[in-house]
Amino acid sequence: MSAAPLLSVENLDIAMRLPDGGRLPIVKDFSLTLQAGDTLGIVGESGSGKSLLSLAVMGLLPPAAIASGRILLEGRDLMALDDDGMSRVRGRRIGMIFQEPMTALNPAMTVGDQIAEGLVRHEKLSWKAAREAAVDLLDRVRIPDPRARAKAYPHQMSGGQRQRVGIAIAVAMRPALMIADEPTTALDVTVQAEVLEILDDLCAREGMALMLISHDLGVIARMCARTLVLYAGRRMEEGDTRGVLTEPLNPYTRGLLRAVPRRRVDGAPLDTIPGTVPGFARLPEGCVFSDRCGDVVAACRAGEPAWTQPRPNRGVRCIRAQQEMPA
Amino acid sequence: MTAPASSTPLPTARRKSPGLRLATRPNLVIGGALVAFLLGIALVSLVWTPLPPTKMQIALKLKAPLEKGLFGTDHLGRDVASMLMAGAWNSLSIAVSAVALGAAVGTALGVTVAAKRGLFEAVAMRANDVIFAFPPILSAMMLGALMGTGRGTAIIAIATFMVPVFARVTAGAASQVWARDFILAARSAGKGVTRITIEHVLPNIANQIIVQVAIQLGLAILTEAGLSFLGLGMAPPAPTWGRMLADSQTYLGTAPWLALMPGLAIALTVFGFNMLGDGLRDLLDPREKGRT
Amino acid sequence: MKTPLIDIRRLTRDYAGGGLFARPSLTRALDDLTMTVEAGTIHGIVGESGCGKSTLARILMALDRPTSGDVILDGASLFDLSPKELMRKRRDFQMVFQDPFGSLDPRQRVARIVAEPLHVLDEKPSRAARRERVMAMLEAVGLNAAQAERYPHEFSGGQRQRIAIARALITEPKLVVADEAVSALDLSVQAQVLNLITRLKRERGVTFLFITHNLAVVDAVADQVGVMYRGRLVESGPARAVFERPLHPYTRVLADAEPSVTKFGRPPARPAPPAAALAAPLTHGPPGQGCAFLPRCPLAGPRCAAEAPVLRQVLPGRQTACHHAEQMLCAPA
Repeated sequence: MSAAPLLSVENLDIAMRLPDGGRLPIVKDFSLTLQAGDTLGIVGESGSGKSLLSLAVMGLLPPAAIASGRILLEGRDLMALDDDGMSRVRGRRIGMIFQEPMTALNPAMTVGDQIAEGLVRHEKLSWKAAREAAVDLLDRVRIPDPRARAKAYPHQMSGGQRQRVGIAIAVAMRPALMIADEPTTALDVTVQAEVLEILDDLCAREGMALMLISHDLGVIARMCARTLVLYAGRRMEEGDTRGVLTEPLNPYTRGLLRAVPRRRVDGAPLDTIPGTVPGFARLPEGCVFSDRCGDVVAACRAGEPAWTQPRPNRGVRCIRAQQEMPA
Repeated sequence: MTAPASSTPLPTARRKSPGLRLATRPNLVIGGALVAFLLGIALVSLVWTPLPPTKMQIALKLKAPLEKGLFGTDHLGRDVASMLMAGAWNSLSIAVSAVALGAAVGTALGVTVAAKRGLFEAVAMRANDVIFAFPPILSAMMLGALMGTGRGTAIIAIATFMVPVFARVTAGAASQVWARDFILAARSAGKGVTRITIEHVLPNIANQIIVQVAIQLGLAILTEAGLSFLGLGMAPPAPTWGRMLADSQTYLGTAPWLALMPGLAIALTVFGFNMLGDGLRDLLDPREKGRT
Repeated sequence: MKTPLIDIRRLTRDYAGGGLFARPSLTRALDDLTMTVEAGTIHGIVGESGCGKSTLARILMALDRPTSGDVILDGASLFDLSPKELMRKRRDFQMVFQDPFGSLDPRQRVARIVAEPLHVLDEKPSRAARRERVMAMLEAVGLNAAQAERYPHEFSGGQRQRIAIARALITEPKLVVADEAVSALDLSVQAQVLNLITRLKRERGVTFLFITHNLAVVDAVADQVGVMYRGRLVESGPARAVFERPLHPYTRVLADAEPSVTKFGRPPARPAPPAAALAAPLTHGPPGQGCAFLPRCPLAGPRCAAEAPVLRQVLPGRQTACHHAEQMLCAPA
């Protein structure tokens, strides 16, 4: 294929500047490519650096973060853009959905106006036309009686409805890429199911690529064709979702899947991953997972394993996966 | 990241050394140094001043700085440097007493409001508003009429003005603490309102109170100077910065240093306390940075 | 038949809403809830936000009083006790909260946090005895004595929840109410805490009332489960049986909505209720006629609008509040 991929992240490293002048590396050796219409799930627990990753793509890294590498959107290097250029990309080409819609919405503005605002600013629509479009968008995120609800303020809506408004705002500009950071974590399961369905429909209909960041493997399984597993700022495994979740190559992915609570007929305790996610300042030598890994061997502690691709469309960071992979 | 996890800031992994924390906080260093310097001067003035601050030498009146003494003499030939030193003690002691009194009463009121809510809250906070509406000058005049002017009147007048400020700050902060789950845990442990306030609420709002104390001290110095200027402060001949300013008015054209010196002293003190307050706020709670 | 540890009888809690300028309103957080919890079991309570499960927890902890109804804990009515008796009784029931970052006082050291409930004991233990109990308890939840002098911010979420569990167990209570105690934890840590809870039940005979929105978690640890919807108990029974064959359509809706690592892509379409019903907000209206779940129910019929179903036994040990329970029983799982 000759056309540039929609999003390509190449060798991204992100470190935090410490007050004593030192640097604390967070994300290391991160790369991914996303074609138009792709759905990619990024799985990670707290302390995996997954939120920093989405902020990097949005160009919203905190001032203390130092990033190196390249982030190309439709062939354009986002890290080379200035604030003005980046804010034109945000909203128009990249939409973002946040975990807690209440904090992302303006409490003093009606939801209809908040959706319309972006259309007025970026698409140069008149307020009247933009408000009409907002009502239409609210209808598309299945808010009942959208014309009346457009005049409501965020606090007058339920959590699920606010998240739908958040989606409507992100979709309004028809972005090519949608980044959703834990979009349903704060919602009840039945509301979550509805919100996921709306997001799924919109992505499919508009041909938007979706980058969904979640700690919930079930949500990723529901939404994403591809999955990338992140641990302590490193990608541990990547591949098609079904492959990653049914035949995991990395012991961390295996451990995560085994730790999913399920009824044990024999009354035996649930499988766990021992220990806790280490802080970025206290990562073990060699492989970052070596201190919690059940399959650890001496070589794991000798050096950090490289990213390898044992099969087409499948990547893993584990020296043992290479050894054990059938040819 | 899940919500609770994002509330752990990353750099906690490496704790900063106290020395480094100071060096990166110029507000705290400058404010702290100024306040310490003034405090030192005030304390020294109790045992030593170049000349007795109340000693009049009419023959040497209105001498310019360095011509007689460091900062010259006033219209009665008193040594300005000595008066400034003694004035520092008078101003600081009144300000500190007033803020201590105001903080104690205001904090007690504030935490009670947060614990009781309901009607008590409504009544106390409205009463607060009423008190807050009286300028301290007016309170001092009324108090002065009742009990005569002097150190006590000034302290009470300024403290009255401080109470609503502290009540408001602590009530807000304490209400936030009351909404936390560890308060529910303490209630599940059968602890009463008073115990919870002492064991959980006060330690968690101490930072805000300390910051407020520093800021209000600056304001108290200013108010005390205002009261003295109007003759509502300490009785003469005790030197105060406010009265030195008032006395200097007649000689502005001929002896400007008489106005300049106490004016500078007041400005530096207020500036020092404000810097200290800002610095403490940054030090104790980095999240508060930039808020007013 | 042995007497249950908790006997909840027709518990109703109304909250007065509105205020000076708003129209006064009444919300019913708990609606005539009756259930029992056997000693030495993990009893799951499942429901979505606003179903009244947190109100139930607060009332069980005597942090709130019911509008009507009673809670009988270990033979004594919780709300007939004098303040002094209630204080003494508190050693028997403790709570673990959802947010491990909000439930520990950031200004206190772990040893002091864990020791706090000892306050209720008649005879205050000596400093040494106190310390010994705290250390033993920290070890029982998988922490070590050296960590007792640290502050909460030095711990991860999972460790904090262990501290909270240690605090809840320090008085050797009979009942621990765990309100979404593992919801905020990472997957790899969640299983550790669930195992701890199961072990404490087995080894110490502690009864847990385990409140959560996560069916998989309840399925993994609970012996019994109750499903709540708008302040009412709509289904109860042995956890395994309830999840294998729900007898209330709401339980089925919940199970279907829950994402799982074995369900890929878009879920197969289920008979859906009318579109307008899906939009119905999950708040409580005034107690009216008919089934509260009616607007969202795929099985709804005319009888459901006319008559509110009461909780009834459908199978031995299985109760449900649905007119169509028999239909659920026959339907394919």
